Amino acid sequence: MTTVEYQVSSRPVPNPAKSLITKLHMGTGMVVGAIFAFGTYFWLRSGEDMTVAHNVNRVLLISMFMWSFGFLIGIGAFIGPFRWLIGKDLTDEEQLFLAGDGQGVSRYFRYCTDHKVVGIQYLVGVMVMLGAGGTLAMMIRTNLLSPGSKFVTPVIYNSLVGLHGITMIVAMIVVSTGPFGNFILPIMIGARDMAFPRLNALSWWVLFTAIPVLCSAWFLGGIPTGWTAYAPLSVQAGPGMNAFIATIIIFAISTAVAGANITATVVTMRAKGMKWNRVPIFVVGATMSVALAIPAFPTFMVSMIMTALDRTVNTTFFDANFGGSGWLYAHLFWIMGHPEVYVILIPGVAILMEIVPVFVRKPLFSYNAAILGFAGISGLSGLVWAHHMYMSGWLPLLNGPFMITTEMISVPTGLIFLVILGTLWRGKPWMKLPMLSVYAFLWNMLIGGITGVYLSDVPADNYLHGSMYVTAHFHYTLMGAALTGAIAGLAYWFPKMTGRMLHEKAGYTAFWFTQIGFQILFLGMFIAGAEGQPRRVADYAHTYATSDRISTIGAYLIGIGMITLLWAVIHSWRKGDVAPQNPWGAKTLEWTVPFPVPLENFDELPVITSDPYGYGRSEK
Amino acid sequence: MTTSTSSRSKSAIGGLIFVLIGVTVVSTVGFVLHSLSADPQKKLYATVNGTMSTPQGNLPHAFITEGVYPDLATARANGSGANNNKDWVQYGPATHLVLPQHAYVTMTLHVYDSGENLNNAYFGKVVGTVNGTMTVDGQEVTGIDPTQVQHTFTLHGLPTSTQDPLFVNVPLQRVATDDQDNFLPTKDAGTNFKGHTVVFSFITGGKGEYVWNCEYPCGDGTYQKFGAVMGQLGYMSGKVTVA
Repeated sequence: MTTVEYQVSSRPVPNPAKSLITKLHMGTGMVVGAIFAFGTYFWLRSGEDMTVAHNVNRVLLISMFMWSFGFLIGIGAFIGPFRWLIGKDLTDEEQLFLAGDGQGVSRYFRYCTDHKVVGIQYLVGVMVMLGAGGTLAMMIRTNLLSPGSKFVTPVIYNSLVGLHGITMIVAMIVVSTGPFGNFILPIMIGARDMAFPRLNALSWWVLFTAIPVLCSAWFLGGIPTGWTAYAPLSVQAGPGMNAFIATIIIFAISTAVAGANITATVVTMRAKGMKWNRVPIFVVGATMSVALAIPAFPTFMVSMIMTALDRTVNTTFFDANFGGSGWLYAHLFWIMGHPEVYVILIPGVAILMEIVPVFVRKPLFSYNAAILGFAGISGLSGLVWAHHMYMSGWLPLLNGPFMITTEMISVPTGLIFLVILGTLWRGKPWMKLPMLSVYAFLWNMLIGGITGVYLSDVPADNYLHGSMYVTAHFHYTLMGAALTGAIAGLAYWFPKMTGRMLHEKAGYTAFWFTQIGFQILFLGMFIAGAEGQPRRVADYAHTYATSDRISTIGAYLIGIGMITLLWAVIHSWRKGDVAPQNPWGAKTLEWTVPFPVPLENFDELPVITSDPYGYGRSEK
Repeated sequence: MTTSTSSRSKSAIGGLIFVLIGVTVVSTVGFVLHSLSADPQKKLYATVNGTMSTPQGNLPHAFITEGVYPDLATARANGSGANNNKDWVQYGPATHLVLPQHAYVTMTLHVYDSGENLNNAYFGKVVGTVNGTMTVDGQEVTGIDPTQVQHTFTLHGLPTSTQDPLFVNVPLQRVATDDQDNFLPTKDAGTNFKGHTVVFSFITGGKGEYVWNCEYPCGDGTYQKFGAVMGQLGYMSGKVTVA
């Protein structure tokens, strides 16, 4: 077996022996976080009447935030700023240690500022989240295997749906920009690191602290509201709802930090000669995605803060009896909620657009149209939120404008589609795993996109809203398109991130199980939904029994496909064939650096003289 | 070539084992969740004593008695007290009622709580009982003033093709606050009992699973009183199994 040598630094391994940062890691973070959380919990509860729901909510929420704060102290996230504040900034040796120089595997468990380490941390974290969310999906489908099923109680079913939803949404938001936006993007633009390396590490570890908080919901009675957490349901829900609120607030902080960092990196740190029309399309997509998230996600955080206040100190933001409004919540949620769909979708599509030129050896068809498509989607996505509220009973006159803006968004989406088709046109694709995903995306996005047009239409939505049709539609776009794009990215950049080739046969097996299972699961769901099967309900009429049984079989196939993919990743990472520096013969900068990628990526910063997709063109 | 074939076989077997382990892990999660889904509610069985002549013919006559208590102390004083939140209103002694199928069921409710206005006056009417009536302390009524309600017993189920429909709504007359403050409840209704006794009858169909709940929001302390007892099974809501 050939081994990959991970330690290539010629410098002596930094060892600032007396520095506190050498003693801190994930374990110390967890200990300090647990002390903060449980200490706060027991201290606060001793002075409160814990039979009153508001007091319970207050104690739990503060304890959860203290866990997050304590963990960050325990892992050393604040040492740098603190030292700077007292005028004793970190020494060069400490900075190198913080960057994980020469530390091997242990750096993945530390507060490490190297963007490549953060990228791997995100990759593993996302896989764990997808695994957890996928397991919950298997439970949901098992309960729906037959009508009248008593696999789980309706209360547990509601929690399954809520936790599946929020886990998958969180995972999908970072599935592309987390691993590839951190590991690959800085190298792609010819930078030595991110603009703010410490913030980069902070974004990951803040997100990490949200995972146990979300898991605690199970032990606090679950999340009965679904992932939308509509008020007043969320205001009156039990203690588990506090875990949801804390998770979203922590997650919003993480994404704001990550978004600002990626945007600043791309704007300020591109290599010399990398003009805006020479920026790789994945970089454009990832930047537009995080830039879209920066204004969108704070509204979700604000809605959660308001919910928390209603639950803890008896404010009435969402209580109509005292001048509040449930609609206020719905607006705040969907002002985030619809742009969030594109925050997820755009980087996934951008990965596929990155892949197509490489595997058909043709320039990207109309780079400018692709940029226009992304810009159009990003711009319009901020003007479509209320199509989720057609049936909420608000002023019907307002439905028209939102129907038009929503239908308009299919135009830039179509442009993106045309760019991929145009690049494929008369090409001879090299049918490797990343390329298969492109075709899967085209099929899935076609169905997801067309069915979405019906939902944007007020009369049709009047009939279809709240049904399984909606569930099938958004799974086609988020899973069928965005997740397929992310998996393509994993297959494409796996050699650069791990130094190994992804096991091809296992990859193909996983692909076909997942894609066939996906069609079996969701295609029939459109019909069941159109015939009236409601979503988010634990039981259903016998009319839908056959459809739901078929869907559940499809879900199991996806489960087998995803486990196979997980095996392929783990096996290949450990024992896979050693990858050459540029196995796909691509032209972007990440393929010019060796594996392991040096600490500062490039010995000499590159100068860009051509566009990244100049296949078959003479260099100019 | 042999080494390569052997390596490929090892990989395939390894992959297969990994998939099996993955399936086992997911299945284990399923089993755990399924075991958590076991009914936590204590069951109360109706007792059959004789028959009753009805338009559907002679049916077995079943009897079942429940109470509604403003807190744990009152519940315990009346022999109930399965739920341990001391200040929470609760039905007792159990919230999962088991009734015989195709039976004439007479239900007695001893009710001890105060109350306020119903949000929805509809639930102030008696619906689904024999003759559309109930008795409150022996007096036959078809409903009560929606401002005098302490709770309701509202039984219903999903309209499916596999079980007979069953809907019963009985509003429960509230106890005056003064009475509630002064009384010392005992199991002997003949001495110093100051609650109300509500009696009503209804006819069950075939086998089925139904739910019941209180339609008066009584979950003090949270949003519009829909939290606490209104948000958890086993206090002011439960199941009815017609077996």
